[in-house]
Amino acid sequence: MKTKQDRKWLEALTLELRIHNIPGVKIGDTLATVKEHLADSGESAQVAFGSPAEYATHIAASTTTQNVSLKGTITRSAVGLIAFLAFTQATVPWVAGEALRLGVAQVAWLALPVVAALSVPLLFDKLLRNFWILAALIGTAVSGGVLAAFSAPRTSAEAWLSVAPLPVLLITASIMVIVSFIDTIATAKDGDDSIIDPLRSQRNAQKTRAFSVASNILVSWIFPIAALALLVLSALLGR
Amino acid sequence: MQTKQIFEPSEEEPEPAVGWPSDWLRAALGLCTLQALESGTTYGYAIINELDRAGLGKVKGGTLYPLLTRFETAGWLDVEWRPGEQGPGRKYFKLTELGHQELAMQRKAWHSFTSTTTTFLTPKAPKN
Repeated sequence: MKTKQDRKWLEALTLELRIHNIPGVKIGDTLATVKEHLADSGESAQVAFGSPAEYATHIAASTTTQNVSLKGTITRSAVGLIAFLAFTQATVPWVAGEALRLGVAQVAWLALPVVAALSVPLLFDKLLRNFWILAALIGTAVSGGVLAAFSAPRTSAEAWLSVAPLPVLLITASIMVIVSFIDTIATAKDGDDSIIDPLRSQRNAQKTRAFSVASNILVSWIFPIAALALLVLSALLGR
Repeated sequence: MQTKQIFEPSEEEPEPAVGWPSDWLRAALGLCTLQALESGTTYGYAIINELDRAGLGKVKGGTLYPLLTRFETAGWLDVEWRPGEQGPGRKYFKLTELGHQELAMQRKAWHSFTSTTTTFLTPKAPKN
């Protein structure tokens, strides 16, 4: 690649092609074609191909896209994250044999990460294209979680609501497992969607695909695994 | 508008070599690209140069490659990547049997169209 601008242009194109649900193999082919043309013509990517968003739109209109979208994967991750956050709130009270006590301020702060997660599908394109919107959303979610922890009621008298922790654990665990299961089916059905350089050998590409499918399935189960680890840790520390 | 100036393939591409309206060139570009592929295996930048030598202007990559992608998706082209001696690899295109049939069909239709248009455009004596 000739310049830093061209490298940035290619990174932006990769993102735009992903947003259009272009398969990874086709993205690899498109990137390699752009590099070939830039080497042949000596032009900059911006001059030869225009903006990454518009070029991706032209490519998407010229080829077939895939059914499984990045948007679906991220939405499922957001649902899994909400379930995981709720699970973490109920773990310690359950191990201690106490009720899950919630304060008004705590619930209000907890609403922030929930709203942030639910807004992901609506703001999807903007989040991917604008780092600062993404940073603001993550900052909001994290701040809400931290402030919720600090505003948790310390006594039963301070609690606005007391609920049994076991149903919360069971419901949130079920949601996490269902979401992970759906993710696993999607990964197994569609296989790997890594960006493959067309010049890489078939054998290397197959190895990459197998590794990528395995790691994708592992990532799909990250919330149930983390929840189980948290439960075990809480039980050990609670003894 | 910086972006608009830089990338508007539908408005600015290909660059007219002899001042033809860009609409005409856009209409003919697909057929001319198929024609450039008729003589055998070739690659993107070679097609751009061939169209330029033919007097059709310098087609931008942002215009040509989506067109080639569409032809590939339609089954008109076979493609093969070969490693480059220096720098990136090269993607070679070759017309399939279906691509040759499409070229023949489009060429015939184009001749018919231009013949009809030329006949119609013959200057006539004004009616009194």
